[in-house]
Amino acid sequence: MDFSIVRLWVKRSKKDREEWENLLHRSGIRSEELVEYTVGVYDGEKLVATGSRYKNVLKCLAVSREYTGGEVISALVSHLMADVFDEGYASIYVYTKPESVLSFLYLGFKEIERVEDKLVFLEKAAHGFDDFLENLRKKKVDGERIAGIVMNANPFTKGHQYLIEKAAKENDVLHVFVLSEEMSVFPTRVRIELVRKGTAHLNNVHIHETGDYMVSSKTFPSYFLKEDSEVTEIQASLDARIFKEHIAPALGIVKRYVGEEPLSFATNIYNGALKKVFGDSLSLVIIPRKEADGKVISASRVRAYMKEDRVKELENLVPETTFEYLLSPEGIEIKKQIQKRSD
Amino acid sequence: MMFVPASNAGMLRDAYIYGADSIMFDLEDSISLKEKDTSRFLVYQAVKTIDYGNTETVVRINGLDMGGVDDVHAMVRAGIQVIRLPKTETAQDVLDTEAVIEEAERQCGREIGSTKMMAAIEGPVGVLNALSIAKSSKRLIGIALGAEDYVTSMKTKRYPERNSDEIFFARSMIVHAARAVGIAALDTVFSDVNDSDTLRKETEFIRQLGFDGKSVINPRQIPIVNSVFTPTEKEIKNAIDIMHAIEDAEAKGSGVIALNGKMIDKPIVERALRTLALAEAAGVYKKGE
Amino acid sequence: MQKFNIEKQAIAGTLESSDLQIIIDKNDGKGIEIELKSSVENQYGRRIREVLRSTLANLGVDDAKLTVVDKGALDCTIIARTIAVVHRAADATKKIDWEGLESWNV
Repeated sequence: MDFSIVRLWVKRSKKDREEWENLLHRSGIRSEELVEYTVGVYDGEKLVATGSRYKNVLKCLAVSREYTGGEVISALVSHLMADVFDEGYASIYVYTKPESVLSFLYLGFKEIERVEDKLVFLEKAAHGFDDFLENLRKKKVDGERIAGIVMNANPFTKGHQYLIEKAAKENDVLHVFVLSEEMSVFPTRVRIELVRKGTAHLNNVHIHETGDYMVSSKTFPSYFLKEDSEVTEIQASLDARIFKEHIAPALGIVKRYVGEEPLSFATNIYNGALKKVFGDSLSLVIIPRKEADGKVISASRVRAYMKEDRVKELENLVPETTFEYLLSPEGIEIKKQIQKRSD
Repeated sequence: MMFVPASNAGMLRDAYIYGADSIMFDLEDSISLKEKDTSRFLVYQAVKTIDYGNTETVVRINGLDMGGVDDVHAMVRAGIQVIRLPKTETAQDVLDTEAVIEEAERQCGREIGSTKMMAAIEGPVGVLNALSIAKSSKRLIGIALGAEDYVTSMKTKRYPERNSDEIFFARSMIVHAARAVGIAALDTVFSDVNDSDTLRKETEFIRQLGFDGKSVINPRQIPIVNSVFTPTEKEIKNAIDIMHAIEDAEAKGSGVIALNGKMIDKPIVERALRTLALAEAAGVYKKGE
Repeated sequence: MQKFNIEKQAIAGTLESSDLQIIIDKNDGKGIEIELKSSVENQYGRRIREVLRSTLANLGVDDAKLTVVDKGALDCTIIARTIAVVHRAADATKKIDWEGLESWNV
């Protein structure tokens, strides 16, 4: 069979986009907005398969029924992998449905975790999850009560600080994981730095990155999950399993702290899923949020105030260390970026 | 001559079983920019290791300033029989490449001159320079037409369904140049792998013009091209009869050879020898039968 | 024998039939580690690893971590992909030392 692999300009060409979505729909999956690079496999003039990537995550992979059998998917994945490496990433990820797992295992991917019969998360890397966990284990600190928190901290607020201080007080050791992905207006490097600075006074707190293993809801691909279904719940379950089965044991964590979010439907679902997966093996401690002026302190509130230039009021919401940054040239740059956006 | 993209490990390994007279490993147009380096190593290693039997091995290199120099060094060392230049415009292009080939032969101790060359003419300048290109080097064993790029430069396109008149002049120039110098003339590829009828018609036409062969891009095309170039039984019998007549005349010590009332002179003998060679290559004739 | 240092991670080869895909990365001080996935692991696994190791040795690579997927590649393909991925990882694709390669690659 004479295939050609051609780039599909799904963001710039209406024709390409239509062809792409038609194939996806015929294969029972949805298109996604977060794609950087999409290719189509053509048999002559006919589009028979497609695959996309966003950063180093492969998504929206679909092969017409008549062409399943390995050849097309091998060519497709090889091409996308070469592209991922070209972009400078050293590892590749796929979220896919359980029926497709074998194809990926066959292509050398390794399963990291799965959510029952809904979703499987796979990786292909020279230095991957095993190395990540090995490194974590080296950072293990002994203690009777060891806890963990996962946060984005975009930016680090008094609310985050409160949660950490409480967990640090109630436990011997606290591990704080900051999301590594570059999806936030505050760059990863800055977010981590502000967390460090804001917790420097606590000597039992250890900061780590989540690597490619825990992602925000924006990155989490859901193209193959049923429309509107329990996307949040499934994502939460995956995160929960990764945390419970791999990260927690590596560090000896027995408790995870999260902030309550009475106004966020999504966060409630998320926390609910965590609790369900953790079961009896891992405790989930939900802490009410710290408030200022009768309102909950959250990073989104901070960003909103930044947008409106309410500098004085910001001082009440963030620790000194963060406030210092917000007033710095870098911080002002970020404020300008927030103001440019329309959200 | 069957085109095989150098990036395909499976095709490299199986290429010789398809029965083409020669295989051309392509490092140029069919390889994406990002895979030039890996494909080069792939063909290098394959040609070094795999026994391609009687099939002639050819490699189409990139332009000298686009990686061609490394291509030459790799393939000369690997033992390739022929190096095919893309987009040859002038005799100087041939000489420039020849210089790199010679350097490589010297460095690795390969017999100087053992690596042959083939020039692909793919544009109007090349077509008009066909004769000087054909004459340019002793290593040149043939010239070929690359019609796709040619028609683009000519601001037209291919019309195989209309007899390909748009490339008639180019074909003529090439076959004339080849014959004038005594090297082979090779026609361009036929891209529609599903249209055997037009392929056959086109191949018959170029044979009629005097071409020695045609490039193919898919194994399915090989039997069709071969059948057009394979002499018919009648032609073979005729050639054998001529051989008999020659042997007979030699045995009698006669200086004149005649068959069925007609004089057999040099051109006829040559044609008969060619016919038998082609027949042998096609596997339909064995000397001594 | 040549000498190549793995400076960055690199990939070469495809997952298509008869081919071999190699992802290579640094492995400072830990020697050569190979993770191989092959459909013919039982019959040819050892052979594939042998070819990989000897090619790496010829290229003078002491430390490297390889993640390999084999789809039925011939030895010459394994060697070619290894040479290619090492060149990419060592950033040596612009100045190829053919003499060096020929000194061991018979």
